Amino acid sequence: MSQFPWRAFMRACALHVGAASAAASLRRDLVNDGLISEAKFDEAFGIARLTPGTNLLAMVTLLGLRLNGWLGAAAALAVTTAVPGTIAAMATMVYVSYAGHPAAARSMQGARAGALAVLIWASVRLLLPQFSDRRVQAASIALAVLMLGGFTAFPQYLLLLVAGAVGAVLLRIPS
Amino acid sequence: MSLLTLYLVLLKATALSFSGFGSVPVVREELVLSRQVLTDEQLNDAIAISQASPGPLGLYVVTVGYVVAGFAGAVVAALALASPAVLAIPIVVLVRRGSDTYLRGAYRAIVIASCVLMAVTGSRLAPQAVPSASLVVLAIAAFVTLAATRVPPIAVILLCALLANGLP
Repeated sequence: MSQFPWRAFMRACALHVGAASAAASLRRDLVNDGLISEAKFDEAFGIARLTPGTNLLAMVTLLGLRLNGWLGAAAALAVTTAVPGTIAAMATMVYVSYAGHPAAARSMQGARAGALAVLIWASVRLLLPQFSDRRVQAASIALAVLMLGGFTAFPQYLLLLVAGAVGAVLLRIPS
Repeated sequence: MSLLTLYLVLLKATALSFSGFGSVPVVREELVLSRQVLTDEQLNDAIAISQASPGPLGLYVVTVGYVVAGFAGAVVAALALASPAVLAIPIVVLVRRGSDTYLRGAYRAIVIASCVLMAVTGSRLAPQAVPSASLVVLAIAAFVTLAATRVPPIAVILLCALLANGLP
C-alpha cells in the first residue's frame, strides 16, 4: 500500500463537487501518471454507472481494486466516503448551531429554493436521455410510475423494484 | 429510531438509486412521512448543504443521518452510502461475461422511475422550499440558470443563499 495514490483519491473527493468533476480529477491523476490504463479507467467508469448507489463510490472501489486488490478497494472506498462525509457532518454541525440566526435562516431559505431547483433540474437532465430509443416503452414506464408514485400510496422502493423488473423485459438490449 | 434501522432505511434508499438525488423519494417516504423523524424543511436543508460541500451528491444522506441521530447517525449514513459500491465488483464479472443484457434494461427503467419520483418529491417539497412568491421567482431563475448555462449547482445555491437576504 506504500505506492497507493492516496492523494489522488483525497483530491478527487475533497476538492470536487459531484461525480463528474471528481472522475475527471481521478482520470488526470491516475491515467496521466501511468498508474492505470485509459481502458481500465473507462471500464471502471462505465461499470460504476451500472452499479446501484453512488456512481463515484463504485468507481473508486473498482479503481482501488485494480491498483491494489481488495485492500486497495477498501482504502479507496473508505477515503472517498470518510473525507467528504466528515466535511458534510461538520457543515451540518455549523448549520444546526446557527439555524436560528435571522441572517442564517434567510440564507438557508434561499439555499432551499436553489436546492429545489437543482433537484428538479437533475431529474429532468437525467430523464431526457432515457427517451433516445424505445420511446414508447420508456414513456409508458415513466407514466405508470408518475400515476402510482404521484397519486397512490404505493411504496416507492417497491415501485423502483417493479420498474426494474419491467425494464429488464421491455428495455433489454437484444443480443 | 435505532442506528440499525436508520442504516437499513438509508441502505434501501441508496441501493435503489442510480444518481445522487435518486434516493430522495425513498428517504422522504421513510423518514419524513412514515417515521416522522425528519421534516421536509430539514430534508431540503440537507440537499442544500450537500450541494455546497465537496464529494458525491448522494452525500446529503450524511446530513440526514446527523439530523436524525447526531454524529453516530452521520457515520451510519456514510456506511449506508458506501455499502452498495461493493456491488460493482460482481457486476464487473457479469459485464465481462456479457450477461448484462437484462441488467442494463432494468437499470434504465430504475433511472426513469427515479427521475419521475424525484420530480414528484420536488413538487411535494416545494411548499416548504418556496413559501413566498419571491422565493418561487428565485427558484425558477435558479432552474433556468442551471438549464441554460454551465454554472455549477454549488454556485447557484450559494448565490440563492446570498440573494435571499435581499428579498422582501
